[in-house]
Amino acid sequence: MSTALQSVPGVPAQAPRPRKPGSASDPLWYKDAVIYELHVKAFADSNGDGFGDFQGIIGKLDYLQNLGVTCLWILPFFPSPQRDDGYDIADYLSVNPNYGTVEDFQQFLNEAHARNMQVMIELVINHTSDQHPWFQAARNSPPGSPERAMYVWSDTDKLYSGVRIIFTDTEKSNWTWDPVANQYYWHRFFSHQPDLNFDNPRVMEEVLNAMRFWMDMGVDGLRLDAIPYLVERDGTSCENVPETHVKIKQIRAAIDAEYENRLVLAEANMWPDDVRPYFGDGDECQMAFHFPLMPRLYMALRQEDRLPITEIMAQTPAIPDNCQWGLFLRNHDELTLEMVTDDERDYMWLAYSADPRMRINVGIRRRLAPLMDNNRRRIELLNSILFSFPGTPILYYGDEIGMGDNIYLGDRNGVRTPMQWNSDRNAGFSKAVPAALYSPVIMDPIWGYQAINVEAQETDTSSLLQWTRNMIALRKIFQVFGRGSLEFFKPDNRKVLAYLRELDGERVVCVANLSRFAQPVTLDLARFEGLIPVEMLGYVPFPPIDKTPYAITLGPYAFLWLELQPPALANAEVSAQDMQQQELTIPATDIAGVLGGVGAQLLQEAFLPKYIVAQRWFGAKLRQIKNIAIVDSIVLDSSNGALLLLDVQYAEGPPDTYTLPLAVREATEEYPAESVIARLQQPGFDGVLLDGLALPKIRDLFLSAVATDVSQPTRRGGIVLGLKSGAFSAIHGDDFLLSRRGSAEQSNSSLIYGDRLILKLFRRLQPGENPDAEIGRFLTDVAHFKHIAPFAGEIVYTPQGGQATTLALLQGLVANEGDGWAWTLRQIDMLNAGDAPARQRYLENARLLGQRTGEMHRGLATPTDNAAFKAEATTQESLRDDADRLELQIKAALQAVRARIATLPEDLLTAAATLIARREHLFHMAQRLRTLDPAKAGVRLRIHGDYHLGQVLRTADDFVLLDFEGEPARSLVERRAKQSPLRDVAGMLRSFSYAGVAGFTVAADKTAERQAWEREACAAFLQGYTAAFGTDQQIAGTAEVVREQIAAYLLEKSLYELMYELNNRPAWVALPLFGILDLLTTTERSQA
Amino acid sequence: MAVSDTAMETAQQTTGPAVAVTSLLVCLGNAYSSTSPEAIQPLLGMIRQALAAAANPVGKVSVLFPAEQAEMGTIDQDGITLQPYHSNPDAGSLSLHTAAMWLQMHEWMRTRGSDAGILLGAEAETLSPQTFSGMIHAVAGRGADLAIPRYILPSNQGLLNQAMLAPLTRALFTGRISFPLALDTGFSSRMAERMALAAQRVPAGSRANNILWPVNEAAVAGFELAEVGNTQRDLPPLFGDLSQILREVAGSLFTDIEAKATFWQRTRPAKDTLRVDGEQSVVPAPIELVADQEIDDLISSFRIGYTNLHDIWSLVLPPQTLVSLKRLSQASQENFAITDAVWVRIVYDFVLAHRLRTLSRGHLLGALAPLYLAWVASHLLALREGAVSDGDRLVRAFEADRPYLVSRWRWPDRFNP
Repeated sequence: MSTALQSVPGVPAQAPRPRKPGSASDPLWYKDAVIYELHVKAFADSNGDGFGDFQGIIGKLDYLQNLGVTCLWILPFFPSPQRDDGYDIADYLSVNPNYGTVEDFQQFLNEAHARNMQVMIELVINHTSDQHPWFQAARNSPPGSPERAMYVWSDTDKLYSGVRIIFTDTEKSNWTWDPVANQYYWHRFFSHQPDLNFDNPRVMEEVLNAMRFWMDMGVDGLRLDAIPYLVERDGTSCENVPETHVKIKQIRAAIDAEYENRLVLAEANMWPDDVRPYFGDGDECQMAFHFPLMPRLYMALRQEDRLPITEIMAQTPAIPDNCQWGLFLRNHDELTLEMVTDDERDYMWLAYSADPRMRINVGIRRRLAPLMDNNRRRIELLNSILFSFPGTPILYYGDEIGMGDNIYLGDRNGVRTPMQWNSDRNAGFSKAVPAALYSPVIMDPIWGYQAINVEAQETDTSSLLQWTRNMIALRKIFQVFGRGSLEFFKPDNRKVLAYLRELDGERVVCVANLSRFAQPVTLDLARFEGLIPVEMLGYVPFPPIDKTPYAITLGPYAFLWLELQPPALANAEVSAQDMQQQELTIPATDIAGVLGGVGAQLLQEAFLPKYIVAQRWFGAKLRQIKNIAIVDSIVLDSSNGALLLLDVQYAEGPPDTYTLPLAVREATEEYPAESVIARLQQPGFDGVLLDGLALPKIRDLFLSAVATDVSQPTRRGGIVLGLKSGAFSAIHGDDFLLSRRGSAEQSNSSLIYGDRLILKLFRRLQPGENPDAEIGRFLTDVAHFKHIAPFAGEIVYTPQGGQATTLALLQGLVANEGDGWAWTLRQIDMLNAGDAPARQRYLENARLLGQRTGEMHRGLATPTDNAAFKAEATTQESLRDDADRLELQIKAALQAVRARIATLPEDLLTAAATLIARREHLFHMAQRLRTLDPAKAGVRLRIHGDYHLGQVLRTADDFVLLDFEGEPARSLVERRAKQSPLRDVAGMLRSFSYAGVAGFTVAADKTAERQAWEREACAAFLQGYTAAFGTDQQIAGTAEVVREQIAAYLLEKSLYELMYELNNRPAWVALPLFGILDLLTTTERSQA
Repeated sequence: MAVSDTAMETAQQTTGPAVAVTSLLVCLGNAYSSTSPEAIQPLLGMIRQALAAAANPVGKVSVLFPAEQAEMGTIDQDGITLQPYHSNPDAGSLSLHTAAMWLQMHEWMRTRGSDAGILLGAEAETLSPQTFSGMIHAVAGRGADLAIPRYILPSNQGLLNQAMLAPLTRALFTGRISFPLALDTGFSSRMAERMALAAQRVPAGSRANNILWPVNEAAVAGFELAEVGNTQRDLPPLFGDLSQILREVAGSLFTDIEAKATFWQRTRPAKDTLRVDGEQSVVPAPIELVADQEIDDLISSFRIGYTNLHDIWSLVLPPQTLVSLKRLSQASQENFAITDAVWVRIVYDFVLAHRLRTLSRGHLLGALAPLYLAWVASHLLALREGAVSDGDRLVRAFEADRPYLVSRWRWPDRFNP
């Protein structure tokens, strides 16, 4: 119970009045409210007298309900001479006849409550009109009389000297001489608004009577106008004096004692610290306007810098739990600049009021939309901040449709013009003759009611009105906006304002771009790792948050509200998309229907993007696909299938071309479920579109194309040729070969025919002959090299006017015991198990592998007229190219090490630092390549290009070398270039190092054994290689130069491995890192 | 006690504590208004049988039955107090679910100190005693606030529920109740209080016609829900034309969805629902095939609707759906199929149009009728071709596309695909 109503000892307590409930059931309703401020006179005129009235408002309540506002703040509607827009009240207990009657007000109140809207009215208690009967009685009563004591009088105008004048444009003093009273009276505002004397208890009594009059009717809230000025004390600024707070507490206590769920809102245009006392301990006003924030929103926007906002919020003190800030962009007064510095005021005037007529007092008399130069995005941005900042947003009537102002009207009347409802006469506001309107409607071409009105914007689904409605509705769903805490993020880019709102585990991240240009920003959201930001307007899930800075790009003046949700919620979205996909069908019954018209469009847009990213052979999973287009297709005769060539375009980087065999089957046929790409439906047909390789018939067609040397035109004028080699018949034999898919699906797809043949269908095509086919054919047909999978044929596609490109390669199937990598690891396992002879056995085979490698290179050096294979002497230029390439690799690797050094384990720090310190030695090795004598460096050949243990097959007692495609990531030109065969040698030597680690592990007690094994295996390999490749200096080079070349190529390969491991497998970084340091040491030692 | 979604509990009634029900109030719906106490003897027999077998002892049992003349006074019959209440004979079969009824029910329970209540709809005598006692057990023994039976209906019955009411309720409010507007409902006293509060929010003049959705209320309140048994039961026919039924039933559900938007947009539907088996746990729905002519009639109604209402649909549905409907209007009976995805979008877009008042709500729901008939035709055709009636599939489709409703609700721009 408050002090005002506590019973006094000895005096019988009066029976308490029963507390009257308000229209809201939640005592904190104002925290979730969206307040709409309106003038009765300006909103809607129901009787055609030119003034808006309560009946007019009643007629527009449905509009307000649809807008979504929950509380109506009605500006003063009391009888008044209207010299200060109604803030000069002549009777507190009645309604201005222009606006209706008390009964009209009661009806309006009931109708608003029926629509779940609360109503707040003004209690202007600092002053009255000089026409108020109290003042008239006061001036006519003798000094000292109770009537005179209702106001503040003085015989001198020197009392309270030094107190600032608020309306500097019109008032010269806070005192005005009254010739009737023969005294000065005090007024903080206009001279026709004498201040009430709150030192007189009768004044408080009358104020409470007025308050009860309206609250008894059901009014939900009171805005206390100008409350810092209630009590005057000499020697002070007469603002915020302690006695004023006593008065406010009395008013609040009276309300709490007699009414439930009512609101008191303070108008105190002060700094946040000065406003804070008006909340008291939650026992004065529940709400107060945050005046200083408002101009700073405009300032931040114009300066494209968040600092004005974050600074004022940093100065904003905490308020009691039951209290709330009132936030607004504009209101019925000028955009006040009292709460800014002089410099800031100058800036704001220059920025937002170029025409002096736009200024009044210490502010700018303009509406929101004109302040924003009618820029819709700027209006939306400011509103988005208003709706998401901690506090209750207050909209000023008309701003929801972007109404303009009229700076040629006096005072602040330019922002108080009639509401623009439609394009009829008087903007639909009134049926009066235009001259009878309380104010002219706005009629200019840009802001006029013909262009901007409610009716038009109701119809226009993209209007500002619809946008505002949606935003209000969205805000109301999330209580966090009204009640949650605020925390600013501090991204480097100050053009972006980003903050977190949080309430009971509900989190919303708001990001706003204050700039007129697109802006990038990264936010530190690491503490929310695992959560998924869901954009709240469209319910769009964003990528999950991880430990790394969360990157967002915002368009000009864009904003995002992101609700942080647990992953499960976002998955629902994915499954919804899946479901739509599942239900989508292609209207076709055969492959021709799929590839034509709507079928092709659906396939390209809806099905292929989803299908190919899930395929192992698709190598650009991390790139964002922008578009997939079918650039050509080859109908696979009689199989209701086709081979497609797809142009895959990405958001960034060059496009790729992929192959995709397809087939149409009826849904009732048998097929692997995972091969379904789409469903087909047409009347009488229910079918599926499959990955063709799942069907034996399609697989057989590929083999048949080679066997029959097929020649078939493509849909876009190209041609496909099947080309079998001389060895085809012998390999194939006479039997029918049952087909199956290879189990090891990688970047290409393998089809296996019986135990004889394997066809590799290249998935990602590059124009030109594939090196695998080209080298396979050369080694088989020209060099007669036996230790490769025999080349049996190929399928070549030549687009119209384009370059022949290998689609598929057919080879003999080799019986084997697995690849060289697996076989090596088995041998090391035997060694580890104590099988000592295994060591010698392996070395002999390493020598044999070296021999086969040497023989392969000899084969590739076979004299020929085929320019693609003709061996070339090493030149100074080619050595320089090698050196340049190595230097680039060194720079990239050192940069990667520097970038990641902080993340490396401690036992690698010294090694990493050593590597960086030995930068010069690394470059020295590259430099030495340039100084080698090219005549002693051997020849340049076509080489394997991606040579390691995984690229050889172990047969019963020998090796078969495979896969001459080169590194798929490199361009075909690079892969077909002639290079030193020693690069293949270096590749295999590095492979031994990796096998050693994989087989022996990195355990310290195994280090010596591993290093010895690696040394011996490398030596055996080199021995076999040298013996087979020969020692002819013109071909193989001299031993000394070869050693330097191998070292350089080993370094290049190791640096590549180091970068790969740093990026992908940090646990393996030690292997290439120590390998490089060992290589440096060995090289230096040998050079010494 | 909540039960996990995956491990569907099939606990029998004996698994919960044998908490006694001090006072049980059973209220018979308006369908019994013209019957005498004698005429409800079969129903009382079922109730007695259920009470005898109930795991939870029940003290005082009152059965309220509607009568035009409520002055006939109370009758005690073998421990059951029969008491007439005044009913409006013109009230429809859905009167049991109205705000007025819930207000009245709460008042009756409050004045009698009842701790559990059961509302029984028409032909409740065909309800099994196990289901009745299951509802008591769910509320008294298992702590549920609301117990709803799961009916096993022939495949061509309860289609409005299957097409729209259950999927919408389950997708937006709770995961496991199959008949959100079941004819029979068991509930606790606090549930009755909650429903009375909801009823009070309905303007007094509309309470007699305004249907409330107890499942949604319970979900919002965080109350425990239970689904009881798999029970076969005769359903009374719904009178009135389809548009009228849609206006009353779908309209009230759409309104409830709007009123509770803050809840379902913010909260994932609860997956856990208490399962109480009143009888055997798995009973397949009997398949009843429908004649060609009947299906032809349904399709014709849709086609007429397509011709006459296409313009109205264009205000509500996005172009992609309209294209599907155009295709459907031209399809022969053999190929007449409305996919789950299209149906879900139709319903969600109508829910949204209802909220936005795109057109008068009465007209809007009338325009839904031919689309619903198209779904019925498609559903019956699928059943005839051997498809298993899988209501859960449609529920999953509604659940999966829930983000569509949320996004359109938040940003109801008509410029969408």
